Amino acid sequence: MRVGAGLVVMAIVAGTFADRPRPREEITLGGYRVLAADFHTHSSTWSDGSVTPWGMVIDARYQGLDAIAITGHRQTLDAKWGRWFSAKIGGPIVLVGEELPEIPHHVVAVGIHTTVDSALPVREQIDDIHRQGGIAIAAHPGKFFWPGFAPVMTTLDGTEVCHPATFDYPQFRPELEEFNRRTGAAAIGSSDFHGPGRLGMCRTFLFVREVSAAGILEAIRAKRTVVYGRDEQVYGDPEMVRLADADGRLRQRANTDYPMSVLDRLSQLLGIVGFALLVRGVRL
Amino acid sequence: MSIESVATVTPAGELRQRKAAVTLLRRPLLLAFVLGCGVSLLASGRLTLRLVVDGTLSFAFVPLCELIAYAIVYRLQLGTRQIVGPARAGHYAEAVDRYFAGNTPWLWWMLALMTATAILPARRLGSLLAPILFTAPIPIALSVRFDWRLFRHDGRSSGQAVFDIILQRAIAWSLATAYFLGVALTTRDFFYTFVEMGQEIRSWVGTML
Repeated sequence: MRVGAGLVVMAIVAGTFADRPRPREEITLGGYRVLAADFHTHSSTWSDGSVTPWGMVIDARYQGLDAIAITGHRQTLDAKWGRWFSAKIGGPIVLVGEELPEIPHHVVAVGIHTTVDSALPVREQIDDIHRQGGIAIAAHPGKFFWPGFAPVMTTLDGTEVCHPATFDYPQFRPELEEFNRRTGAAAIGSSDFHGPGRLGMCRTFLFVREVSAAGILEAIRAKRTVVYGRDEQVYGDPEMVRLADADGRLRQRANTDYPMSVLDRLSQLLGIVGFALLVRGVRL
Repeated sequence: MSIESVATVTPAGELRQRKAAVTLLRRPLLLAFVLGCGVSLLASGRLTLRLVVDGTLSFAFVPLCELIAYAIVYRLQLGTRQIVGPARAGHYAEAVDRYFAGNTPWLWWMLALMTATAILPARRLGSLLAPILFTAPIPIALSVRFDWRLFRHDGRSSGQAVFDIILQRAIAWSLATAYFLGVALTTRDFFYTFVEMGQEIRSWVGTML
């Protein structure tokens, strides 16, 4: 049992040494500052996530994100904690958000101040989001959700075209693409982060005039976004896509499947063997 | 000053208390720690201190809910006086320690999940959802079997043991679900979870075929 505990400690030491923030260089294209953001994330404080709001703020740094929206289910408290914490440590921009997980339409509100009543019809939900100065994003709008979004096709500000589910279920990607085409809204990449995977695994590159929450929301309203999805697909404003593709750095930054180092593999191996010994030792 | 209070301030009493605290907390803490390590592996592919600590804090509610639920069952067991062993002797810490050993199947299951996490690329971790749903009944069944044997060993009748298990699960799982899903949980969402699970399994089976 002691050997197991020792191996687990060594695994954590190796993993902590290997854990370095992804390099974040300032990118300016076509006169716009380019920011990487994830607009759909869930924390462990009452929103079936696995990482605390402050842990997500730190993780955003490690994943090379400039901004995140913390979007609790029907609540904004965790987002406000995250924003407060990030301001204290000089972390990424944290936008207060909320996911309204109604059936059959899930709406992500970003840049709001107070909780939007999820009992409202979808049109009124989006009106309230806009009244608060926020933007409304259709979350993972697969075919199942299309009837629910029918009344608001022209009022949505963005729709998710890259979502982790597109990597597991190939049939999901064309559904998201088709929905984005029909709405004409900004292309959004979001990780819908609950714990498994990486924060920013699907991310949105924003071409902003000003590095601030207001600047980010303005870029989405103006549809100045670029998203890299499954099979090297790229979505967004054609002019911004041209700039991004010519530069090449955004495509590189979009990939979170970076190679594991020797220390990473050591951390995994020692951890798994260590836990096996520990668990074997705690039998009755 | 009573004899009991003298006993608690003597070095021997202090040592006993400390030992009881360790016995009470070691397995609940191990469970939270394993969950924390799982979070770190899932979210970063490695065991890194910042995510291990964060994940342990985030999932501390799991052993906490189990402790609350078992405390209620334990009180009921003592009340009926049909119990033997550490629980009968009023050694709550020892009883908790034995009870939490019933999580061992879950710990093995999580270890298997961690191994899969280490093998799969980050973008494919979502594909673990269906195997998780398919295999979760195994640790559920094994831990129920473990608890049934424990309660029977402690002198509970078959019926009482079944009642204790159902009561403990009902309290612990309700509390944990309410905390984890929080304000998002409505009856409609709850039932929709099963619809989503069904879709997930169908999709997975479709991929396999």
